[in-house]
Amino acid sequence: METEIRQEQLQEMLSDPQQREKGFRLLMKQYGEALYWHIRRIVVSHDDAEDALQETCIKIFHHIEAYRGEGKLTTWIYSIATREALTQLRKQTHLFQSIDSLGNTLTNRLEAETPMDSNATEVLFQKALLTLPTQQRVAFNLRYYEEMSYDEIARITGKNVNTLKTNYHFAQEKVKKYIKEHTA
Amino acid sequence: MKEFQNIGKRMPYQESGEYVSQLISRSTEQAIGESRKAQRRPIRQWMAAAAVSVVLLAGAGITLFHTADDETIASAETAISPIDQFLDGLTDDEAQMLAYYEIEEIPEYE
Repeated sequence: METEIRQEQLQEMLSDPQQREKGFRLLMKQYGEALYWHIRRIVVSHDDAEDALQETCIKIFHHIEAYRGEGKLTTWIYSIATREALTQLRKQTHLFQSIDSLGNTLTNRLEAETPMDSNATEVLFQKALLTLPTQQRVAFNLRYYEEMSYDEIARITGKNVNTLKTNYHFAQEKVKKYIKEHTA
Repeated sequence: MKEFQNIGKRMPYQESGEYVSQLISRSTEQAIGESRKAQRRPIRQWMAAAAVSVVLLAGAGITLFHTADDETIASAETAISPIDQFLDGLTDDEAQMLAYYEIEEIPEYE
């Protein structure tokens, strides 16, 4: 099993121009898959996730010098990935259309991406998540799937911690309600 | 509702680990490549600017050279030769005399 490199060590390598490329490769090896799934949960489609991941990699490496190491490295890379995923969704909206209106499109995409023999309960859970407003869904994903603290989520989404706590509670209630309504 | 508690973090769609790691490795190398390209870009821009300047200067030089040549030819063409000056200074009678001269009248041939 490969040993996980500590964030401080990675940070040190990334801040050294001689070791930057090596550090970046290690960073992506360690967090790339988690970033891919974080993006995928937002954009749903694999193709969009691929595009957003590529942009995320480019942005991370390009702006690595600007990272001052004040917050956690993972928080910083998740912020970039989240923004790129939302940008990918925004590209699919028409003029003046909000990304929240993409709910039905994303549900259709979920059905298209899901194999026929997939677990119906898992599909229903994802459909319930897609009924949430995008920002709420992103915050929910970060808390539920990535198990991040509210402080970290606040840094990534730029929202207030208390607002996030309330939103998470409402999101849970909404998901439960949707599931109840859609299960006989 | 109990079965929903058992879902955990499972997703209804899956991608093979190998495929995802290949995608990550491709994206990582692309990002590094893009950055290297961006670093080389200013040098290339400088070289391109220098090449354009050289071509422009060469073009200007050739144009100037040719213009100067044309001017020399033109000035040579417009210059009045001493013979013309002499002929212009003759009266009609003198010119007529010159036209109907006898070879013996020319001192050198005497």
